Amino acid sequence: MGQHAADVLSVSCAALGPGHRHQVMLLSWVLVGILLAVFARIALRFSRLESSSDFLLMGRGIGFWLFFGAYTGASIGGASLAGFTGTGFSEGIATIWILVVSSFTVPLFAWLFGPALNRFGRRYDAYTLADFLVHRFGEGIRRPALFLTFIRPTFITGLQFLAVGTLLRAGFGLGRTAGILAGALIVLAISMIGGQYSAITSQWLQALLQGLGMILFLVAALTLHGGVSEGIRNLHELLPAAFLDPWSMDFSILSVWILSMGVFYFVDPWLFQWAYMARNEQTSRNALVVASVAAPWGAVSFLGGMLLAAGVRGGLLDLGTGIDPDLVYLTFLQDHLATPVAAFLLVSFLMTVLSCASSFLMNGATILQTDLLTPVLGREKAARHPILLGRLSVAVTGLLGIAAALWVPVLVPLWIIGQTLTMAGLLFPVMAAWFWPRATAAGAMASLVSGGVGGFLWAMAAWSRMGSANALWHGLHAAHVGLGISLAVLVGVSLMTTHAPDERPEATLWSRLRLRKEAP
Amino acid sequence: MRERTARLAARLGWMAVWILFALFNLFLITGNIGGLLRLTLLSLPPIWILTVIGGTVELRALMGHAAKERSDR
Repeated sequence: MGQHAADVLSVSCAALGPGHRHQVMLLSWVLVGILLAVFARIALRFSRLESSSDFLLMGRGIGFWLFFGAYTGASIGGASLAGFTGTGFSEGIATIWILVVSSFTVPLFAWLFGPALNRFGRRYDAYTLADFLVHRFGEGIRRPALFLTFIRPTFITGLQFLAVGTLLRAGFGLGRTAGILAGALIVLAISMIGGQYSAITSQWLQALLQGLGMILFLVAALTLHGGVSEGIRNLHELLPAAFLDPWSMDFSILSVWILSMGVFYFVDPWLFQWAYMARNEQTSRNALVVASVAAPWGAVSFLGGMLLAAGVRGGLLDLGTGIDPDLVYLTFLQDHLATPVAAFLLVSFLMTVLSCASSFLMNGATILQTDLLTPVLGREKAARHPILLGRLSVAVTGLLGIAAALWVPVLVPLWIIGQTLTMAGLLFPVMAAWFWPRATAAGAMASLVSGGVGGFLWAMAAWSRMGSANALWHGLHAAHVGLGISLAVLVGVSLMTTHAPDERPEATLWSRLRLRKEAP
Repeated sequence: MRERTARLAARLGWMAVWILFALFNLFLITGNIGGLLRLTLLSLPPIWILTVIGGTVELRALMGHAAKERSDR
């Protein structure tokens, strides 16, 4: 039995050949078939929904463990698994800060705003970040907020569809376009039938497979070296010192990560939706804090990649010369692991991508339905067919994601720009809604638009001059510029204008919403 | 009695969460990659098992609720 387990977990130094890949592919298809049947059963179980709250927010009833699991599954996508394994393989540990910064800001968001948002959502039937801003500044701010908040989930959905296509081509023998369409079809079917109920439960299940896959990957990477102590020794002996130094990154880029991967989460429309979805205020806070603080899943990719790099340098593993770092994870599991483990890891990789795609698809659909379709159709008309509208929103967001995956060759820069725009435009208006009653609707609107446009123009300039929208141009990132403009405009215009009639300067104040019973 | 046990479990859970967070960041800041690797290896399996157990209980309740609503109609 012990010998059998050791055989299953064994790692081959050389690639096991095309026959092995074929076996892995066949077994993976069998596993995927079984899982699709399970997902279909889950989706059908939740197919009879009645309200928008059911379809988009799981009836505002997600419990701690489903929240914790589904959030973990959704927050780790293809880039976090294969991408960071490649980064660990080619650069070492230093880039891990891109993940660590959010383990400080997401809990802070959850602690400060989670319960207040959960309460706000129930009290005022809120679904999106724009709902929060509209309650404070009036209906006029909904459209620009819709534009800023819808970009990111759409591009991330597209990126995950693209990752599914790449994975299904490399691991499952499908063409790229067929892979994108197949992956999108799975996610769309699950989400359209059972809405957020089936999306969340599928994400939880996918997160379990993803987690087990990541643990197995780390164990396999250590098996390559003969054990934990040997692995650690080889890391120190075989890798350059910079690989093991967490402080070896460029510090100018750290400030960008703190903003774009840290502070961003204070205005992340996706996190607002999680806060609304939780069963109660405590779950809204606790699940988000625990999921971002106590789950070092992100470290697995970096450490695994470094162990593989040490294996290659020590002659324990042959991944071929000049391998693309992004392909390290896939090549290792497909060509160097025993068939059952390889097939399981391949399927768990697919689940990782699908869970992320379905979460952002539902986020985009929620924004589309709440902030565009409902205002356009009118609340009464929209309330007559909430599930139909929800399914339509999922379909439209999914189609946009498919189009992005198929025809937009620059999805990563666009995602970065989308994230920058969201933060640059929304951070100060949202903070003003929480903390500054003197802010006016005119100030918030001007701040949102100018911050977004300023950040966008700077990102485009950096892209054309420096080759990356995320680059520092004249020492400044698009987020720095957009935020600077947004703050100045918010303060300046607010001090020069008065409150509009449909504003509620006190309604969203943190000091008021954090109380269980609203002050009279 | 059950309430006291639940409170104790919650308190212990929070302690574990913050100890894990503190150790993780301590190892990272000091560049102790071995510590980071051992901590990751040791902490993830229990987190995974708790997610399986807790999620299964909640999912069963959710599916039971959905089935009951269906039969009520």
